[in-house]
Amino acid sequence: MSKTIVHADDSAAVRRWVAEQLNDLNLKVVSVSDGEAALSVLRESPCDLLLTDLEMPNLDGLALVSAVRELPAHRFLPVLVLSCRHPSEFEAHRRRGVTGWMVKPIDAEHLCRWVRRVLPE
Amino acid sequence: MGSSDDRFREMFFEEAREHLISLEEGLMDLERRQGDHAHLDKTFRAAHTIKGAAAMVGLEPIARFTHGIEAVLEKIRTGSLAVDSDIITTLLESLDHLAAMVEGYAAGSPVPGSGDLSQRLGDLLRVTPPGPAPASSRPAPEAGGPSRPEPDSVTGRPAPTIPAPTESPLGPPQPAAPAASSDDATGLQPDSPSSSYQIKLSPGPDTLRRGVNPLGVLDELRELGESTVTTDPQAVPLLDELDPERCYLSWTITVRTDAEPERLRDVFLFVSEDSNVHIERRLVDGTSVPVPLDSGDQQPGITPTAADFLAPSPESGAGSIAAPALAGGLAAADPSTFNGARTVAGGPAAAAGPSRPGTQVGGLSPFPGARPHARIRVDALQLDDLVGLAGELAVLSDNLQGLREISGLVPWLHALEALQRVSRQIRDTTLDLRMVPVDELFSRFPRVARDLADRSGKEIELRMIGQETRLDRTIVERLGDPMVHLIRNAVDHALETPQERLAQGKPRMGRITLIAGHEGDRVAIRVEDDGRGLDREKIIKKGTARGLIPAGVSPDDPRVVSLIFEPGFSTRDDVSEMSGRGVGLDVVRDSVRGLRGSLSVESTPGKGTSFIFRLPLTLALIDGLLVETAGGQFVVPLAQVEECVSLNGTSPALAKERPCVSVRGELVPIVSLRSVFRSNGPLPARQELLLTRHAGQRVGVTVDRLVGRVQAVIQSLGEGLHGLSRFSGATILGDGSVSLILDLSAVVTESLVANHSVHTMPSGGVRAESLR
Repeated sequence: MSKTIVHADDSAAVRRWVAEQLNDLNLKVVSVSDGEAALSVLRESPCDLLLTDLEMPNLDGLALVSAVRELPAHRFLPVLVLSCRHPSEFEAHRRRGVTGWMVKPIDAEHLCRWVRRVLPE
Repeated sequence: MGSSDDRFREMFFEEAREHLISLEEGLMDLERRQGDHAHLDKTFRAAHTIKGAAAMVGLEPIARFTHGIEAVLEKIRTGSLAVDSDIITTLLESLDHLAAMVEGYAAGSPVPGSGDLSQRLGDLLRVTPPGPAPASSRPAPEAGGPSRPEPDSVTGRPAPTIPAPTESPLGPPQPAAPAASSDDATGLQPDSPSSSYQIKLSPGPDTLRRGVNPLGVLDELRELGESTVTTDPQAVPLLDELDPERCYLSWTITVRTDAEPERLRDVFLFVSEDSNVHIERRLVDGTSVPVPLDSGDQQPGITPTAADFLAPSPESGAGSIAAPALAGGLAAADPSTFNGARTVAGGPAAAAGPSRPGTQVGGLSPFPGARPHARIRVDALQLDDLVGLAGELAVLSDNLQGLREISGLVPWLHALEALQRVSRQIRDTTLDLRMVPVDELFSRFPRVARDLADRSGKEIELRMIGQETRLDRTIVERLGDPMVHLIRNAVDHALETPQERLAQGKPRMGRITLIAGHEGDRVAIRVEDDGRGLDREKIIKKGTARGLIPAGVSPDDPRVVSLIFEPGFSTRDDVSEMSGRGVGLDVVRDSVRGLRGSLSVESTPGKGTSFIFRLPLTLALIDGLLVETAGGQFVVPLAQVEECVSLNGTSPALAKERPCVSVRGELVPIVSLRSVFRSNGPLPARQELLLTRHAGQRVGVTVDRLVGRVQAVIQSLGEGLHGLSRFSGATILGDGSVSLILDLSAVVTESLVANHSVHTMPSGGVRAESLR
């Protein structure tokens, strides 16, 4: 069964790019344009990995992560951040709940490698 | 680097344009509401998104240039840079340059980043540095870094990060190299066939809650080679105190593997954030060498060096893109703060923690820039309506098919009634799709006003009312330049300097108000100023000197103010830089006429001037006059016809070699439609004259007969007939016949140029009749 990834990014170009790369891995990608949309998708449906940008309208990435951790179904969901921001820009307590952190720009090979690595078998 | 694939770039250009609009609005807003930074989020995000997406689609120069804008915005957002109008000007100019870059790349002729602007943005970042160490003094990051103090592995280490420049085929710095050399320094030779490692892994308390499964790590290590695992359960508490979501176990693993050290590090990619991981490589002589977990310590490419960013040259390194946005100035680049157990970029910014606007969940504005550009955005409800109507139409057509066998009239009448209703609804809904709010037009004016104020030294407040008024898309697109012209005129001629205004008891700031609203079946857009008003005496003087009005006319005569629309009319002797571009109000009026609208002016001395555009709601429908000439029927847009007069009798007049008639004493040149169409049929006993205005002058066009008024849906003539300037389109008349729509101004231009012989010599006897 193919796994589901929820990807949140406010740039349509980035959403499409990520979706195409991950579709090649035989993953199902649900792309949304802000944190709130991501949260409502996660509330409704199963998910194997959340991939999120940080600066987004409505709900930013780190706020999204802490909201997701409150959902019983996703307490242990792997969460990857894909952002221009460097993790060192954020205090540890704000980064809590983030499984891994990728800095844009990133190439397809690395994205896929990280996603494969973090997805539960 | 993501991809240079054209599809992603196309998407990027489109969204960049929207974000640019959002950015400009945000900056204008920022200037108005200094001190209130909460609304800056959307603006900042627009820059941030452009940067991120540009980097992902491989447009490094755009990403790099945008980074400078973003960094300044971030500094403003965190309150460490006070906004003044110089800063806004720099940001706006940078924005213009960014827009030029986006359009340049979109058009396939790349525009490089502006070194000058990057420099100025960089200077802004240097303002009141919160840290004592200037960025430029920062030493180059040490690759390999064994001498660098190891940050506390529980709290201090950044989460695993992909070194950005390695991904970038264009990125000059290659951090992979220093990483490899650090491997050598620590005795990790990748070419050795197999090595033995001892690994201690104590997951942090939050490891499970971060979505990391430590058992996965053990599984992966086992896959690398022969391994033994010892579990240390010492930390496991009694059941009562046990938190099931916490990992209490720690492990010691020995693994013998021929895998690359990089592969080994990979295994701990996600674990190392908050876990204690210690890896030692067993050497042949029995001693152990620690293996650093970070590949090559701090990657040089992603280290935030202000120098990278400040250097305007494009070679300054792609790595600067991935650098943090220099939050809160250059403190982040100060090695002393960087080496601390807690790395806080931009000190004050991040330290503000929860109070930072970026973390607030509520109160954020919705999507940035929901504004159409090249594509047309359609209200989903309208589209649903249309789809529903199309379905109804199909059902009706089926019904009509079924009626073929039925002889009674009543079912037919019912079907026809329904058909009429559905087709009208389809027409109305479709026409409605062309309507957009005038806000799309107005939103560019705050910037225009600001630039004008900047250059003229006057203070201007721009107010906008009725932005939600909807208008035909084409009108909104074409009204921009005429309105800019009027605003420019207002700033230049009408508004006084702050000193003059104060002396007259007016508020210091000149006010320009844009008001849109409905007036019957038209939309009126007013451009009002509270300046000095039109100088009627001066206009009269110029007007009489040029013979446009008789001497001794009263200043209250309505003809006086309309003189300002005469070609080449100006009361100014010294033409300013801005308005003196050779475009007069006559051009503005003509372009509005081209949209089947009108322009009028009202003015009170000392109180101000209003220009009023009156425009049709839509260009798809016109009020027309159906005329007949030489057996053909044509529709003339009513907006082009000032008056209709009847011609009879036989005394032609000639002036300047052209046939003319006298209309109420005014000599009007005439153009015969029959001669334009080169038709030689018998002349009717009586002809009609349509009076239109061409380049400020009245011209008559003769036709055989006036049939009546019609409301016509304009159909375009299509590519093949594009060259026919005298026809602006076609329409289907009530009886089903097709009629061409005649563009009077093109007809007049054509005949003036051709200056061909005139077949008919119409009369001078004139009976005036008003049609409207």
